[in-house]
Amino acid sequence: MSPIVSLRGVRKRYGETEVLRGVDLDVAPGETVSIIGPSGSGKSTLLRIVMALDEPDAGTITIDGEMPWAAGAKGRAASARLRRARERVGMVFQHFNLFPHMTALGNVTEAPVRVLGLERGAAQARAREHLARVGLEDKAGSYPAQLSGGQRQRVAIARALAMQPKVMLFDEITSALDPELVGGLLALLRELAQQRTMTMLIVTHHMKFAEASSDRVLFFDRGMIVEDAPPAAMFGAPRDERVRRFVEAISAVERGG
Amino acid sequence: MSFDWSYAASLAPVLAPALWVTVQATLAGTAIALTLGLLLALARRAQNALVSRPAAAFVELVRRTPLLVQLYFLFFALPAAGVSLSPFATGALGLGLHYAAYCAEVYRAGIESVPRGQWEAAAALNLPRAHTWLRIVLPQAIARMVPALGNYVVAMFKETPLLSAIAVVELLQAAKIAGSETFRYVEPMTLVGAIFLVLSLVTAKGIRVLEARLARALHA
Repeated sequence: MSPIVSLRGVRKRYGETEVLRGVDLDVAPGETVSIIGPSGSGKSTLLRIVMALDEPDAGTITIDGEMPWAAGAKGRAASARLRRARERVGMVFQHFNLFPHMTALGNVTEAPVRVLGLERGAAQARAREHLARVGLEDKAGSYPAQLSGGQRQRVAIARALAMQPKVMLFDEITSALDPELVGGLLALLRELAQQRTMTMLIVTHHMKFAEASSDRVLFFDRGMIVEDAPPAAMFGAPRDERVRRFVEAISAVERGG
Repeated sequence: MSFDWSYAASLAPVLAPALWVTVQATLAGTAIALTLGLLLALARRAQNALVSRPAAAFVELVRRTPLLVQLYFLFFALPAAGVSLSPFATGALGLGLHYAAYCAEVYRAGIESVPRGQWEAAAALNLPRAHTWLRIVLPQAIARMVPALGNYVVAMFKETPLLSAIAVVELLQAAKIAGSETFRYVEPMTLVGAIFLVLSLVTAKGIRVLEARLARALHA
């Protein structure tokens, strides 16, 4: 099967620092890929590139056959191209980025009405289903400020799901949460992965989650994919010394020692 | 010297129409300043330098020159350019242009105060640019801008006496005319001061109420 996400020689620089230094990656439809590695290694930038929030300085990216930044495209044609690529992808952010002036229901209905053209009643019915799916059917009328961090992140997941993307990106979605809320959110993520209806790219610091719930794990260091292996190989017998040291250090923290 | 209350009371019919002129000039100036200010703020953020540079230059020019000079300039330059406006219209336009430059800076700060993550979330949901502005960014920005914009409305109101320089019979001018007829200036000037004080306080209070309401409505 042809890959749904495909990157070739992707480079990205922010000012002086080169954050991605030539990334090649193919992800198959339905695959769940965890991305681990030290902070500042380019993991989040990779997701931003797949979401087409940032344009690569070099290299190509294809999402389900669409190239968001084809060379030479200008004006309307370029923005139509960008929209087609973004339609296929959804993203959940570290800091939720919910719209604070809208209720949970409003957050989940806004884009389906405006972008997918759903009638408001239908969009709300579907939004309630998505809120129920993340365990928040009773919070539809709450504003983000009235929700806990874990609940806010669930609304953000429902908001992304409501657009029915083929590819979902999760950018360290538990990092801003209190520790006791992390487990529930990871369980939700695992559930979504098991349904296999979407391709999932998950940037995470939870090694146990990456080991138990993904088909494949990528280890990033200094803007490059250092190792790309199934979880058993990545955590059992890593080829690269950096992977072994990183996993050990993180696991020690997870054990609380 | 004593304050002649009956003389003061007799000034009411003279000052009332002038107060109405002052209020109208403030309202018209506010409408121009709020609208043009937003356009200037958006223009300054434009990618195209042919749009952003002139907008930035206009804001700087207006903020670095006195309002009185601007009013005289409009009063004499517009007719010379073939545009004939009444003194009132010229004055309202002058106030509006002047405060538009200040409002533009408030809008700019308000827009920049909306976190980048809001734009990114909107982009990830594929919301169109105009929709992102109107439904996501501006509602959050406006709640933060109301106090500063309100201060400028009150400031503009207090600057309306400058319009007397271009022959608008607003509150101060009417008081001066009344005083020149009786050679008693204390009563008319006291009244003018009192009217400005009371209306400024009322407006400021109104703005605080609006601010609180918006904050509640927008949960920002």
